[in-house]
Amino acid sequence: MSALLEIDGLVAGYGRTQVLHDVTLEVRAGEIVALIGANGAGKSTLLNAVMGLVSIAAGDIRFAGKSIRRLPTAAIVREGLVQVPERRQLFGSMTVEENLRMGAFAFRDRSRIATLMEQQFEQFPILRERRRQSASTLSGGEQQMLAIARAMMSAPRLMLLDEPSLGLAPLFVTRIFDQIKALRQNGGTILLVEQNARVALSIADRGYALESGRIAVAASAAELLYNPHVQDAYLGGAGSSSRAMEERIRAMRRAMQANAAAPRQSIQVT
Amino acid sequence: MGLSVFFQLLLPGLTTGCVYALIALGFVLCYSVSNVINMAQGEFVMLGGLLAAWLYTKGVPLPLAILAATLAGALLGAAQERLTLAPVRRTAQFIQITITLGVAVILRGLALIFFGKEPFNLPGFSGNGVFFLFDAILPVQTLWVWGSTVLLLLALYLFLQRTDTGRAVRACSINPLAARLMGVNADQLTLVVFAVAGGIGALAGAVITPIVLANWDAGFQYGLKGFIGAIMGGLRSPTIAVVAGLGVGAAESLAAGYLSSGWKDAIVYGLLLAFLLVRGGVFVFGRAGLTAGTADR
Amino acid sequence: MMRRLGPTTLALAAFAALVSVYPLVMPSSYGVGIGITAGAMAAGSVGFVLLLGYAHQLALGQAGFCMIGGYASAILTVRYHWDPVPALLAGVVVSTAIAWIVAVPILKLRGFVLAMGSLALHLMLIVFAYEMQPLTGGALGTYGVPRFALFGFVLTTDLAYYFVIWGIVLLFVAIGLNIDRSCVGRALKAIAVSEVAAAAVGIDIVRHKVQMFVVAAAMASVSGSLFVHFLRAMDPSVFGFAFSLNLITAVIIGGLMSIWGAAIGATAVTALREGLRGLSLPMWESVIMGALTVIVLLAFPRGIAGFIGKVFARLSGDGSAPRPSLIEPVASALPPCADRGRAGEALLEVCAVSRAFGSLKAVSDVSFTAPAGAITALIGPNGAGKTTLFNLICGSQPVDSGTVLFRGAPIERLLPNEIASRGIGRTFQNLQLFDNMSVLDNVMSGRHRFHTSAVLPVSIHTLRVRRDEDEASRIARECLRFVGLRDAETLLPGELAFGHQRLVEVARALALQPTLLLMDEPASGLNDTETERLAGLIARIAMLGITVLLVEHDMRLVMGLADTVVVMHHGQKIAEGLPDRVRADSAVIAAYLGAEVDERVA
Repeated sequence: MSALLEIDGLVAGYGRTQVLHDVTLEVRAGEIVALIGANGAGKSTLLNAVMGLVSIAAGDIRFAGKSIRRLPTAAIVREGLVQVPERRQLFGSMTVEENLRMGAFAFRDRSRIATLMEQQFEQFPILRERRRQSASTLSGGEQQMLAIARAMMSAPRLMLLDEPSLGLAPLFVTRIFDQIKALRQNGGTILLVEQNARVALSIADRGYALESGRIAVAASAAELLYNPHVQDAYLGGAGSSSRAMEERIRAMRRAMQANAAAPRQSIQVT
Repeated sequence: MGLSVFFQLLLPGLTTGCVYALIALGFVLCYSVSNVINMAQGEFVMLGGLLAAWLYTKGVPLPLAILAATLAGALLGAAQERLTLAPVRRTAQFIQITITLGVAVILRGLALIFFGKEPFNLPGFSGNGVFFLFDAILPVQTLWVWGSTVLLLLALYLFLQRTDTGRAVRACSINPLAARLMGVNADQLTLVVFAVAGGIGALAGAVITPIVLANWDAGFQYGLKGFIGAIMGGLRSPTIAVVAGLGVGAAESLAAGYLSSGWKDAIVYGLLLAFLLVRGGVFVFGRAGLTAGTADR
Repeated sequence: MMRRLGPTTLALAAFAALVSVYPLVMPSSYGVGIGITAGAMAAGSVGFVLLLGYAHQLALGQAGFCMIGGYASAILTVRYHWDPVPALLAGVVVSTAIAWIVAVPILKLRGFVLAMGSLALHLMLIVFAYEMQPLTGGALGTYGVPRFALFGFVLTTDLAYYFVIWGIVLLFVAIGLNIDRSCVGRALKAIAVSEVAAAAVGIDIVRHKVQMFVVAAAMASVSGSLFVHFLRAMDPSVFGFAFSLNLITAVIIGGLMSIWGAAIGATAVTALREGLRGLSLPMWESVIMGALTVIVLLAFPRGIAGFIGKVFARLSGDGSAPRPSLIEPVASALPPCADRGRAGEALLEVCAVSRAFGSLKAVSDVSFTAPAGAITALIGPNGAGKTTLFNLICGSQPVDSGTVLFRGAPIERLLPNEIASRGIGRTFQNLQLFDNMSVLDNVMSGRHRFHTSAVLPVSIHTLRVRRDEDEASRIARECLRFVGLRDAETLLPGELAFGHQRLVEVARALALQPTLLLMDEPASGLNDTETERLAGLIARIAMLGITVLLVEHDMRLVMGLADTVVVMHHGQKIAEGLPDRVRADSAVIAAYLGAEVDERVA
């Protein structure tokens, strides 16, 4: 299978700080790829960079072989990439139907919109029930469904999902991830960013672990799930490479405390 | 007896109130996409009236003159956005507002130079007759004003609710980030909105001219009173802006009639001041309102 | 202070020279008249630049205060035979009172409202002037206003009046410069960049905006009075909206952040008006003023003063820009923290705090304690509610229920600047430095809560203010040495590397001499070396006796430094204790890695 999305040596960030340092990964057609990592690792930044929202200092992003690095967001959407942003970012005071229409904004073909909307209502019947309700009145799980449906309105070839489980009760998390699996069943390709590594890896084919803006591990989902390094990346632990720094910091603190306790030391106070 | 005096004051007040309402709407629209209060909004109304009237005196048929004035307003609005606001989109809000003030002053000054001090007139669109409503005598043009205001409001409503561009405008003001992710180009939209606001203002100015005459000076008062309407809706609610604009027109007319025409302005401005003082005294916006620096991600 | 003597003395000399030379160049009564007009306007615009340029309030009705001053002088001298100076002062008192009454409620509102409020006030005053005929003389106004008199000496010549007026302008410029170089000036600049950070160092935002409105009103009133004693008459048309526009144009042309610029701008506007009148083109006045305003703001935002400053810098530039470097931090350069907690004291107690947004319970019944002198870390996966909880403690969001006790006193209903004034400092995840002032000024702004920020002492730069400034400068330098940053003082934050900028923010928080330091993801954006350095810095801060509460994702920092770790998940606290115990807690592991939802691998 060829790579649908290729990210190659990406260096990107906001203003003067680079968040991503040389990130390389790929997503092949028909896959679910999970991108896991602790917060601050740069996962959302990566998704935003793909959508053209973040300034790229070096590296390239290719979609179906074509470089999209310099394209404006609208053009990227038309190429077939769409993002379901973190925390949904729905248009709260608009109805469910209007939110869906906005999802198709990049395409103006009337007939297509009607068909696509019908498809979303098939996939998410609850949305049909609530089609004229304002989006802010939906429950958390329903809002996540609407966010995904809205993204589907642009008939994307690849969907970027940013932390879909965020703020959802565990029951809804299961449902949403079932929906995501169904999307792949229907031929979709998904790059899934999740902090909840277990859930993400349980439905993904492959995974990457992002640590401080770099890819630390790239493996099949199964391998990652039981990889002790993943746990280390989140919480630090015996045998992790970052344990050394942790130890040094602890030692330094203890030394300072010991020094202060010693009576001979005179401290200059201006 | 008293009631007919009341309506004789109220109805013309509502008529000028229509203009204020449309101006208020223009403020709300521009603010919702750009966060800028366009101080030139009132000048578009003034220019619309003057331009239509001037063209008419040059022999241009009335409908064409009005159309030309409306288009000119739209073009001016677009030009203002592109030339004076787009280049400084990232600077502080008060600087952008000051720039719109400069533009307003320029437009006023140019109007004085090119059109002179004398007011211009337009004939009523369907003659200069009068009609009666609730015992009040009103010029027939009043119906044109009411009618066109209703039509414009309807058109705007349909635009915002039923068209893709209109939805995009709403989306931009609700959640700019999400709008961007859907492929909405906020810069383009701002241009469109300013053009629309300019055109609406100009049309309103043309339609009211047969009743109040067009004068180089009028934009300032129009803008200010329209702004009062807009700010009563917190600069966010178009419905309240329209209703408040009508209210300002009514209050102004009633005050002039029942108190004195000298004091009418003071009453209107006093209402604004009182409104602001009460809002500030009763609600403390302090907690949620702190702005952060642009180092924000 | 010393380093600023150069440009100021030069400016002063230039000012004195120009003012003295002008009447020699234009000795006619017409010429002197223009000089008087320019001076009277300059008096008003110096005050206005503080309001527009520093406090960012586009007060559209500023001429209203000129009216009050003008009418006070006219009515009191003509009708009640007061001396001019007491009449002028009476006008100032009335203007100040009205300004204060109007500004205090309105400035609490967000946005553009003061501008329109002041315009509404001005227009109402014009109506009053027309309608209250017995008092103001109505449309005809009051005439026969006597010449200005100082201490009983009537200024019989225009020339004498000219010098008096420019003397007053000089006085106002001095006041403006004093304000600029004080904690108030720093506060205003801080507010312009980042209100959250300004509040975090104890700056009361509304108060300072009100101050500038009142000062500007007072100076405008003086300006009005000075005009009136030259015109010898006062009527409603003298200070209309056009005059407000002229003030705005003057300040913008002169340079929005320059006190001298305001005087220059007023002169330029007056000269422009006279020039147009001379060319018989008075109608073009508003078009040209409007055009100048737009062009200057689009292309030359720093105005004439900025241009002069740039020329200066180029001429006197020595080319070598300082290069900041890191040094071994000086261990205890700082004075001990002002008020360290007693050992074992529960310095910060969060008690059953809850906060919900609609149906989402962001923080749900959370309680924990940060003991004095210890480092406490608050961790949890994304969406756990740490940031919300942090905001509740800092005062930037209100709690729904529960209480936050600082040294036993509840703080959950206080505003952020009040919390800062109690000795709680903070740093920001996304760096909120004031990029419109030097690094040293940034750190000095942390001293705000120790300074008197009342307008009167600041304007005349009392001994106390001078001492405060010297001490602030000294302590700021020590804070910079403490965090280990050298040779960065005169640079703007934007010229520093990101890691160095973080250090400046810490230094600013330390300048507050906090008892409690709240740090929001301080390691965010730092590389490994910088992170380890930061750990050392935090450890040394704790050694000073400062209690530290940090929200952080970097586990190396958290586990290495923290005495206590508090873990949040789904808005609730799920663990609290020693780092190693917390990390082994199965609930914590499940929270971070995900609950065992589905063991099947697809």
